[in-house]
Amino acid sequence: MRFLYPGFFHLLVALFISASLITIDSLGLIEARHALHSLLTPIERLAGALRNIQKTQDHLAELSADSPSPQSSFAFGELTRENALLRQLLGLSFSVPYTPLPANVIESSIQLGENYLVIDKGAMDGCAPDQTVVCGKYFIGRIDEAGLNSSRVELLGANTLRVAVYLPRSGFQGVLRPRPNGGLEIYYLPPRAAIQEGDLVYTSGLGGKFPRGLLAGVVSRAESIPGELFLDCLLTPSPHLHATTVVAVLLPPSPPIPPTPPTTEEREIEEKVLREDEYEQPVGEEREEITVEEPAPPTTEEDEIETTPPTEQPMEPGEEER
Amino acid sequence: MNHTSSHITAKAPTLTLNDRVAVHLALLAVVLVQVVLREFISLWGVTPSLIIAATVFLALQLGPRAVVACALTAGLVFDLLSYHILGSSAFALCLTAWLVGFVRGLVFRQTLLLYLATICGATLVYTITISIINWLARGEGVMVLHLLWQIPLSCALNFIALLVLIPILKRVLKGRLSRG
Repeated sequence: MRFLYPGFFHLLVALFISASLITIDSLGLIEARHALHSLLTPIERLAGALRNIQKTQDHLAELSADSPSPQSSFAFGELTRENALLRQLLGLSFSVPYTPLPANVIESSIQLGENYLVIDKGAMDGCAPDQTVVCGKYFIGRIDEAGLNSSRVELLGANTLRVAVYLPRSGFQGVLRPRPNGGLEIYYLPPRAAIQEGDLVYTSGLGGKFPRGLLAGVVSRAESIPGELFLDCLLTPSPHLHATTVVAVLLPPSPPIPPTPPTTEEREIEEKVLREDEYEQPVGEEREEITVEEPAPPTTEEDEIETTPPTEQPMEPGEEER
Repeated sequence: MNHTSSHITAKAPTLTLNDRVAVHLALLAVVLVQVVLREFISLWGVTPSLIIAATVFLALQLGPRAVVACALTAGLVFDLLSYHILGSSAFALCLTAWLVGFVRGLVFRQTLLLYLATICGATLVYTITISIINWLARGEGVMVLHLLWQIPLSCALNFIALLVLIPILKRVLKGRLSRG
């Protein structure tokens, strides 16, 4: 019996444990995963630090080489690009009612089926699953998982991400989704839609998951294929999608804080104040606003009058004293 | 390569608790190295899997019983660090380790060719298992055209990783691999 090969029982137990974890994780039932992941955050930071060391070395090598102008150096170019992205982010905060939370990218993967970034902001900073992530003015994805100190961002092009979009020039709406052989396409556009190459594509906000009006990309091809129900429309996303180091998470506006019921001490103090008011002012009498007028400075004549003592006039008989 | 040509005893070595802990720690160290260095060692978007290489080597040395438990631990840590579906790498790695351990009982001598064949088979099994799990759990499609050129490249890179790891693991686990 080959099934009784040594280790077969161990294998069954291990596969059972793994399969159980896969099931629980795919159903989204593991809250402890975030805590476990936060324990391993230092390792991610270490990987990020190593990456930064290599980048710095590249920058130094680039700077030490004889370059014709500072603008041509890699470091300067990257800083300029980062600056532009942050400026776009500042502009974004005025047009979208969300609070952008800047975050550094500490890991990225564009491998097959793993189209994601890892950022250094997590639930402790207000991040939560399904929040929108932008790079400058471009929509790039959503938070897939939020750990305590880091989050995984699912990028445009991931197999599970669908985004409702609209094209303001033509007014048509569609759904942005990855193509099976790579790239992004806008689906559900009618074949005779007047869409041209270069048209801007924005998120439509339909579905309520993502805010409306974020730039998703530019139309790179729009062709009507005979016999097809929908237009064959391709989209070019943000040029910084896989090369960015700074992104922003759009935090939804915080709900208004409900008034807390007063405590017993506060209630007693309030009643005491009310009682004192009632004592000073009878019930039913409207309170008048008391305005204190400052007295005008006395003139010189008045001064003289005040300084001279009043002469006592004799009271006539029959005149009552007031 | 003398270190890849040695006799295999049919009976798996008996490991003490200390030996098991040492093997666990060695595999966990490989996982950490993989996570930290994966961006630096990737070639055309394909990263060699030090974890598969180490698992194959340990399974060929220690047999399936000892390595399946290590593979489970290493796979779970790798899943946590890589934001994979929790348990997916563990599942694929356990299956791979057991199959390699099964192969161990069928051969009499470890040669370079055996290592090459085993690492190719292990890479294939691991990739297919992960793709199936991703498809079942997340609905992620499998791009066959990508796999067609990625798997051969992965096999080649994993084989190189295995050749690099063998002397290191032999030195780290000195004496523990030859007990029988």
